[in-house]
Amino acid sequence: MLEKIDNFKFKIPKSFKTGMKLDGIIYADENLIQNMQKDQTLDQVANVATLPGFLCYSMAMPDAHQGYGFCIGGVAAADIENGVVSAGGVGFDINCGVRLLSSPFEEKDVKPKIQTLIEELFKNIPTGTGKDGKIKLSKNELENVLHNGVKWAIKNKYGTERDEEFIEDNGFLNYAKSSVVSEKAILRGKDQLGTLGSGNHFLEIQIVDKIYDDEAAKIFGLFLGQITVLIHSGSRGLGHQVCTDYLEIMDKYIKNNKISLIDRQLACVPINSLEGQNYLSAMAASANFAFANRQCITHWTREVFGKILGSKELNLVYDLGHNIAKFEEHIINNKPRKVLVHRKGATRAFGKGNKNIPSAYIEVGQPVLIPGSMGTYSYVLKGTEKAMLESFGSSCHGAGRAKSRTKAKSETTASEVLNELKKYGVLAKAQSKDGLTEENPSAYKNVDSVVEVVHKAGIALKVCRLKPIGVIKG
Amino acid sequence: MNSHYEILEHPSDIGVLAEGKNLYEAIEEVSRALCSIIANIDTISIKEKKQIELSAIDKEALIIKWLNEILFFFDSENFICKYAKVNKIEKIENGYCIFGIFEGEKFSAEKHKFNIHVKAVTYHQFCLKENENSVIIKVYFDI
Repeated sequence: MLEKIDNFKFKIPKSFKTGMKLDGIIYADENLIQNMQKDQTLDQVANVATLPGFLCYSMAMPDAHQGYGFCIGGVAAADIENGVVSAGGVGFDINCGVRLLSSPFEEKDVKPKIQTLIEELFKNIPTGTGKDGKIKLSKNELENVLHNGVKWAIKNKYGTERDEEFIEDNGFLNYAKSSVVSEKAILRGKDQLGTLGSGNHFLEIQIVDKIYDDEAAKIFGLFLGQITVLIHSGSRGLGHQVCTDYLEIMDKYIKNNKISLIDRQLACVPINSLEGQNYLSAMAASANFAFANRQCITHWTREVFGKILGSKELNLVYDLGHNIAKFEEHIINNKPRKVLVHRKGATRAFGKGNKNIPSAYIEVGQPVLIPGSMGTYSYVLKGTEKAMLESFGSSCHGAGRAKSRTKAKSETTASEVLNELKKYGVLAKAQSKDGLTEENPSAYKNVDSVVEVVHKAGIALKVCRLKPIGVIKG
Repeated sequence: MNSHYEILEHPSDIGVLAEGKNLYEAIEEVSRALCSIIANIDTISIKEKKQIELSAIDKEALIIKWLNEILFFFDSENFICKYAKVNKIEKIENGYCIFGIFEGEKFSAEKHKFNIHVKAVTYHQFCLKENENSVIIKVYFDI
C-alpha cells in the first residue's frame, strides 16, 4: 500500500486505487503521515492521480489534510496540450496567500505600544463578515482591478513601485478577463476590496526570533529582533463565486461529454477548451483581486505604523499565493516542458537563478512564507533547485489543521484562548468569538515539524523564525 | 417525523446531515443548518424577502446552487437569511428548477450574533437520499 521512500517521503503506488494514472508522493514524517491516514488525505491524493493529462506525480505537502476534491496541501501539474484544469484543484479562495512586511523597528520600539497598534489596525482594516470595505468601487473600476491587480492599487496610491517587484508574478496575471467573471461574482466582490475576511485569515505583528541562514536573511532584509507584519487574505467573495460558477460549468461539461469522475468536486475541463480558457481568465481576474486586496491592507497597515510608531517604512519582503494554478516551465524527463501547476494550499518555492523571482533574490531563491497557527511561530524559508526538480517548485503553505472546527470550538472558550495567547505574549483581537476558538493553536498541526520536513526533504530551506506578539482576525 | 439536522465533523470545514419528510423539507432543513452556522438565527428578524428561482442539471446540483445563493446574498447585499422556503421544484428539459423565498434582513454586527463566514458549498461526500417517507441531504461547507 503506502511505501516509504525515505524519512520524509512516502509513495502511494498506482495499484492503490483503480484508475490511478500516476503515483502519489507525500512529503511527511512518520507522525504526520499517521495523522493523514486518519482522514481522506491519501485517498484524495490518489483521486487526483486519476484525472487525465497530469504528469509525474500527484503530490501532497507535509501540512496536507482532507479537503474537498484535492486535499489541502495538494500539488499536481497538467500537461498544457492534453491536460485538464480543475477549479476544485485551485479552491474557492482563489489566490489566497500571504505577504510579509519588514520594518525598521525592534521589539523594544513596539512592545510598549502593542495594544494601541493592534486597536488601530483593527479599526482601520475591515476584518470579518458584514464589514464591507472602505473602498467602494463602480463596476468599471472593479474591472480595472481585475485586469491590473496590484498595478491598479499602486496607481491609486495604495503602494509603491518597489512593492510590485516583490510580489509573485509582480502582482498581476496578464491573462485576466473580467468579461468571463459573472455578474454575481462582481456583486460579491465590489465592496470587499481591502478586507481581511474571516476563517483563518489574519494580520500578525511578529518578531524575528531566530535566524538559520544569515546570508539569505540579510538578502531578504531580515534581522534578529526585527518587527515584521504578516498578512494572510485572499480574493474574498469574488473568488468564491468564480470557483462556484466554474464548478457548475465544469460539472455540465463532464455530464455532456459523458466523462466519469471519481469525485464530483474534481470537475475539470481540458485546458484548451473554451470552458478551460474562460476559467483560467476568471481565475486570473480573481488572483488580481487578491493581490490588490493584500496591497490595500498593506497600505492601511503602513498608515497605522506611521501614526503610532512614527514611520510608515514597511518594506514588502514577498507576497505569494497558495491557492492557484500557474503556467510554468519545468524539467520533465530531462526536457523543459510547459505545464499548469495546481497548488491547493501549497506555495511556490522557486530556487536560485529562476527568472520568475525578484532579481534581488536571484542568488538565494524566493522567500517561502509559512504562517503557523495563531500564537505559534511562522517561518521564512527559501526555495531550492531541488524543489524545481522534484516538487514542481512547490512547498507547504502553513501548519495545516489537525482538529475540526467543531471540536476546536467545543474544547475551549474565546476568553481561554485570549488568556492562553497572552501567556505566550500574544495580544489578539477578533471580530467573532468563534474566529478565536476555531482557530486556536491546538486546532493545528505543529508548524515546527511541518517546516522540519520540507527543510530536511530539501524542497525549501529554513531562513528565519517569526514569533507573534499581536494578531487581528475576522 | 420532525425535520432535523446534525453537524458533521470535518478536519477543516463543517458538514451537515439534514432530514425532512420530503425533498422540500429536507432542503429547508439543510438551509436552516447553513443559516445557523453563519449566525444565531434567533437574532434575525424577517424584514426582507427574496424571490428565488434557480435551475441546474440535476437535484444534487440544484441543492448546492440553492445553498450557494444564501451565501451570495450575504456577501453581495449584506442580507442575512433566517428561513429559506421552498415553494416548488419542477422537472425541466435539462434538469430541475427550484422556486422559493429567502426571508431575513440586512446584517448588523450589533444586532446579530455572527458565528462564522462560509465560503462555499461543496460536492465533497455530498449525498441525497430520497426514501418514501424521508429525504436525507449530506453536504459539506468550505469555511
